[in-house]
Amino acid sequence: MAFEQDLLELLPRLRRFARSLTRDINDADDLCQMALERALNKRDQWQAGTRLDSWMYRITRNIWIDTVRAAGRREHVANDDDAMANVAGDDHQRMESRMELRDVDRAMDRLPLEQREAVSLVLVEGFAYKEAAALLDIPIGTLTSRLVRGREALQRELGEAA
Amino acid sequence: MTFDKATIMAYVDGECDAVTVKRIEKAVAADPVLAERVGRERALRDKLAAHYAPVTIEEIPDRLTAVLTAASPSVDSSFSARKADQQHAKRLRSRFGIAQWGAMAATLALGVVIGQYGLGGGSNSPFVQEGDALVASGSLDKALEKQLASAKPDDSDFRIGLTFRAKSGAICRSFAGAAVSGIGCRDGQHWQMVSTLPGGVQSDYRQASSGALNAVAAEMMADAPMDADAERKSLESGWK
Repeated sequence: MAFEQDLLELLPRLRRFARSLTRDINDADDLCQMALERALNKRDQWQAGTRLDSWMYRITRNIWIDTVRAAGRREHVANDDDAMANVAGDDHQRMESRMELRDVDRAMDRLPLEQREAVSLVLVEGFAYKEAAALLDIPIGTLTSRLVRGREALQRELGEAA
Repeated sequence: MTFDKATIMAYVDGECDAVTVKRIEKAVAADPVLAERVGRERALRDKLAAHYAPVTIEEIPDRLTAVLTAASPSVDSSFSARKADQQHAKRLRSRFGIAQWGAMAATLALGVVIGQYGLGGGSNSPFVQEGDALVASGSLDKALEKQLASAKPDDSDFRIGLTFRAKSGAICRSFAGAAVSGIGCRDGQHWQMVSTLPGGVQSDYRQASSGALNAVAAEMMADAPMDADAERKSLESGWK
């Protein structure tokens, strides 16, 4: 049970990671579910003594990349105009708070995948550069350049609000 | 002194070596433009972290816990057993991450502790069975009834931790002893055991059990735990 217990403890963080990658709550939980299932199937491949969280993040990230690529989805979410129309009827205050929430989601969603995952691992999940680079199988220099570009884009999107 | 974007970001991310940190701090103090650049990067990091943080305290959906409970080795895989597993997992769901497993450990350990003492209520047992309930007896009953958190008499086997009113309305108290720790709630004239853990002799274990009990207590509380004043008043009024 220890393995399952450790996974359960990790779940709140994994859900957060998944949410920042996918934006959508259901997509994020689908991703977590697939990641848990894969982890249980491949539990023999996890080496006790190594970090389970990194291993799980890696699995989650790999499934996400596979899913996005398989679906051939465009990286940018289609319909910001529709979303704007949906909040148009709300009263001003609610609209403002919803807009703010959407701002971060939308800005993250507009990032290319490789920048989004780098930003998510370091800025949201708090991984050190070395850990994040290892998790993504990229050199640290590649990670930092993705972080720079991702952050610049986010600053542009979020502007002074950030 | 100028710093490139990557260096400023690395500084905000805590990735710079001590010398670079010093140099940036010094430069920031003298250069408002640089200070603003650093501030913007820090604000972005804070904003992202704050935006996603609430996800970690959301209730975890059943379908995710079910993946894990279904995978646990179980001889009885009947529908009712699976249902029980799911309900168990549901009970354990928590908004407090680690607390979740503290709660589980405390719940599971009840059986272990009862097994250790038996239910006969021998003269040394801190518990005795009353109907379906396990209630404090002997020295534990005395501690829960008379002791304040601030004062542990030399002859007492137990130290009192938190006293609080549970959502059920009952007054509950956490206790720690060399052999057993737990939470008891006032029920009529008795202190009914809600949760127990082996006390353990090693300090790290005690530490762990105390954390687990506090997590259970936090979930039970209707409000904040009582301060010393409220605790004393509650004792004087017979834990009503």
